[in-house]
Amino acid sequence: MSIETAALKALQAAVGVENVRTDPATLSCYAWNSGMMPGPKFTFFPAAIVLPKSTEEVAAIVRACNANGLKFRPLSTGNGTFYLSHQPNVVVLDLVRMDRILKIDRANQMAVIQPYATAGRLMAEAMKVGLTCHVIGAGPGHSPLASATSMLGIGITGSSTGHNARNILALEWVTVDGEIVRIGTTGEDWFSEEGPGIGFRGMIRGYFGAHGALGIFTCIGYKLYPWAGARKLERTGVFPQDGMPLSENMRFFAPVWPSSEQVRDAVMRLNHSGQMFAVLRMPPANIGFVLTRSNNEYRDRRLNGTLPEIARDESRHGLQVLTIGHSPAQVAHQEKLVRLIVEETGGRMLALEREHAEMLVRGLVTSQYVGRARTNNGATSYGIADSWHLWPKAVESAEQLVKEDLASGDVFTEDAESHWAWPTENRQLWTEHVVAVRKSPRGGAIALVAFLRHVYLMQKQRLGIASFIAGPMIDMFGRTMHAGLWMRRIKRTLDPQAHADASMYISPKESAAMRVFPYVKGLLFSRAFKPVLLGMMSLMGRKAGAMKKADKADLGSAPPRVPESQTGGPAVRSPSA
Amino acid sequence: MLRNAESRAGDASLQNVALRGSPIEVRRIPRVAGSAASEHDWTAQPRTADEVEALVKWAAAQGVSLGVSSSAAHPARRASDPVMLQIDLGRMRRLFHVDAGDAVAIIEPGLSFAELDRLLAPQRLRSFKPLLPRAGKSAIASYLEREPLLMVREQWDVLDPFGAAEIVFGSGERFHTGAAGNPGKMDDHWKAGMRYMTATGPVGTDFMRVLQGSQGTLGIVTWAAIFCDRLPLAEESFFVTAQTAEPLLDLSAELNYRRLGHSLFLSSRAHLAMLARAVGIAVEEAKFPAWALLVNIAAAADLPEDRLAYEAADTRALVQAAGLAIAPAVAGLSAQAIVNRQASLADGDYRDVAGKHRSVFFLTQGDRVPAFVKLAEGLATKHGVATTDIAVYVQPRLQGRNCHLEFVIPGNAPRADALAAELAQACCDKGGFFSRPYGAWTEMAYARNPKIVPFLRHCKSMFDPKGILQPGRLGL
Repeated sequence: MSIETAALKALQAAVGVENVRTDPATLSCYAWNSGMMPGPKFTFFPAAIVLPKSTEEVAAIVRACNANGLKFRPLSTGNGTFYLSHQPNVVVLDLVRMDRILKIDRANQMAVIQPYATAGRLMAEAMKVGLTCHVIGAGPGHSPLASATSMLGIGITGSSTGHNARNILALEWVTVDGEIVRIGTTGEDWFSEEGPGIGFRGMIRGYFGAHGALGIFTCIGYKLYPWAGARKLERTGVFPQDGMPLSENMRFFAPVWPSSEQVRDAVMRLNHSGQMFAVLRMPPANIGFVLTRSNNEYRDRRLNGTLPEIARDESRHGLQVLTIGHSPAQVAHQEKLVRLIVEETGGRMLALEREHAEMLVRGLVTSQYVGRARTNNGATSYGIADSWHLWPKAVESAEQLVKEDLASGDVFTEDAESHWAWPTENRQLWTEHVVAVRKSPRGGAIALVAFLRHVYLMQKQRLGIASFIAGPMIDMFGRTMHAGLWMRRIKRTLDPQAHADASMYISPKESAAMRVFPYVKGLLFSRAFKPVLLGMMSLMGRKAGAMKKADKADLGSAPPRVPESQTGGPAVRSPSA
Repeated sequence: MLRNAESRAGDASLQNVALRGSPIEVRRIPRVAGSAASEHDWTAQPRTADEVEALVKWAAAQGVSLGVSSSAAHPARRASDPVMLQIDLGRMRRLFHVDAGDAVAIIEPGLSFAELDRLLAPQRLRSFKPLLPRAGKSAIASYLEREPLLMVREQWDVLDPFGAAEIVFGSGERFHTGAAGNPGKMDDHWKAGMRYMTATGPVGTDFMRVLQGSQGTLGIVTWAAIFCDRLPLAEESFFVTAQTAEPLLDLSAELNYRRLGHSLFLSSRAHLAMLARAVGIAVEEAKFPAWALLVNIAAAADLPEDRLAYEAADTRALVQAAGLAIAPAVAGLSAQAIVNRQASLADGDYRDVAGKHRSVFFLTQGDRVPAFVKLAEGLATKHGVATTDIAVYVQPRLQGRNCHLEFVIPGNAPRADALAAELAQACCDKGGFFSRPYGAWTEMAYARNPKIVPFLRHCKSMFDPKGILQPGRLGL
């Protein structure tokens, strides 16, 4: 998609020539489909990439876009394919230059951060004063601000670090009109997101965020959590099998039980205590991927039966439990408590080699799993949340679906099911079912079908709140109580001209297909209809690919050739890096 | 159309319309003190969410303004509020479900704290509460008002202790928030194992968060899931005392950081005297310490005695390191007696020691409390009020990230009004955040952040397009 010279000049006036990029190499980095969605390798090419340094520059870019008929979409660290534009004529604001941690306040357990302050950096700084931050499943490279304001925000230390949707304090928001507005406390104060009066924050962030469809968040007050571990994370092991030493006040346990019901009972008691830093159920195969150096080593050891016990099928009803105490007395209490609960619920403790424990603990603390646990291939995943009462049924349902999907030959899992699960805030169940798919256009379609069927079944069986519901899926699965209708009203009220790209929020109008969805969903997601659904998804992917190829073809002639001296050199970076 | 002031003059018209068309019985109630004796309000007492929905739809069609009250004993309002028909939810007092495992209950808005605790007790649960609420205070109304809770470490987020809920918006649309937004009905969800523990959503909007703090201007909650507190198996309470607030605020920050203490709050001498009266102890105020931090340690999970022992030992070590004094009672007032009083609430307001009181309260952070206290003392002197008469209550919130700071001015003399007004403005100017702006505080709070106001009006126009709910409240 080309960009008019006047628009380009307006953007350059907002941030400087060197911070506006329209060269194909740069644009292609922001159009790359990492494989999570069906379709071609490259999606819609943005009209331009703009790199603001300040909130004022963000506001100026938004106003420039509005004045020139361009849509806009913010991007922070980017994960999966949520960063992609799904329509032409979009200016991407890459917030990489807004990377400051403005404040860490130990007494009040909070930080003030910009969009590209990553969780890893924030954690390292916070740990120096005895605090840590929530790290979502994407790992320490993610943006806590983006996760908290605009995405989902769930991470494995939820027992002690909550959920990013609930970790927001005050917010700085650039509206779709380019106005800078504060939500909650103002000025130098970032300690509250409430009111005054009406909790407006609820309009712009629900269980899922708006992905930039309601404006751009440029700074937030953000909750930090107590960290009683070392002030600096030392490294043990050899890359990629990094570990961390367990300090004296840490205890790491790997209990297993004979059944999912016993796991449920144990987790509920662990939750009651409020003493856990992290409690994680990780599928044994994924543990195996972490504890072996390569896929080949995992395969060999699986075949010859030498995997560590924790990574074997028979340990599937197991947990990793990490406690960290502030005093020797607390450490002793925590240890006694975990052992008592495991024993009374019929579990036993697995013995772990020290280096394995150190690797798993590092994973728990930093959530640095994606690179290791996903070495098997691209994955599809859905999440559900509510009570741990649901855990046995969630396991059973996933087993059934996996059995069906494995038969297709394009879905992989080494386990009977692949739930990652943990408690949030010492009370709620979060579980995310992760399966691998073949990396191919057909594999993408299979992943999407598996995803949709899983969500459908979970809703049908009343297994809690379905979580990865965004974009077009809202009209499918979020239509109960007309949640999509309200989101459309909000979008129309806050962005009547539809300036902000809303591809991952809500479409302007419900399609005819979505209107008939409630009446056909039973058939659509039946086992018999699965091949047809697969064909439909493949077709959609090909159609999207054809459209995007046409858009890409336009690229050669349309973009103004900006001299290298003005673009500041070749491609900036890949957003998925 | 009957709207606000233009129809106020004609109660008879309202009566005609109300009696003619209301889906449930509407009856007259006397206005609160201060109103002209001849004036009356009207009230309707729905028993079900269906009746609430019908009432709101009817009111929207007729243009009748609605007020909402949840506490059965008290459907009153200020005479200045332009409200025509008061919806009294006091008859909606059911507890639908309760689960001890997840410590969750689903309740209606008419349930008071006292009634709720009686219903929860067989499951060894109790409600999360602010400090000494009225016995008849509706739990849901209190949570909707974001009243500060005593149990600091259990409050992860402002929404706590709310789970999912049902709302009838001013538009007449009924909506299920959070996990309740799933397909199916409450009983089916419960049977399947759902416990409505997610308040946020569904999907891209956090409806309950929008509603919280809206003072009834957007919708009416007809039931809500709430997280409950487990009854302790072992507990211990004590005071840590000091001559100034600073060391106790530092200690409070450290206790919150370490998640020590189930409940804690800071009181000035005058506030301690109020609490003493509330628990029926007559003590000369001068005998109380200048400042005291009440710490309650409670264990409700496995190994309660072990838990209590380590928390008490760690707390004492911190107190000792800070060179502070610790005792189970001060001047005959036992800390545990105050905690126990939370379980046997009285009808009155514990702050009404001189008949009435004026309160100025807002949010700030612990380390900024001393500056506000100094400000209040200066203004008290200016207004001829003894600084020792001003009671100060500091309630840490959100696991210690900010706090509710409240100045209680006893009496209702004009000078108390004048002091309260000037103190509120001065605290606002110094960064006190009036997140719960009542009456005149609304304009003051909006003036600090005028850019947010149009967006608050957007909320009102979306959820209550005809402006029938609490018109005029919050300047909307």
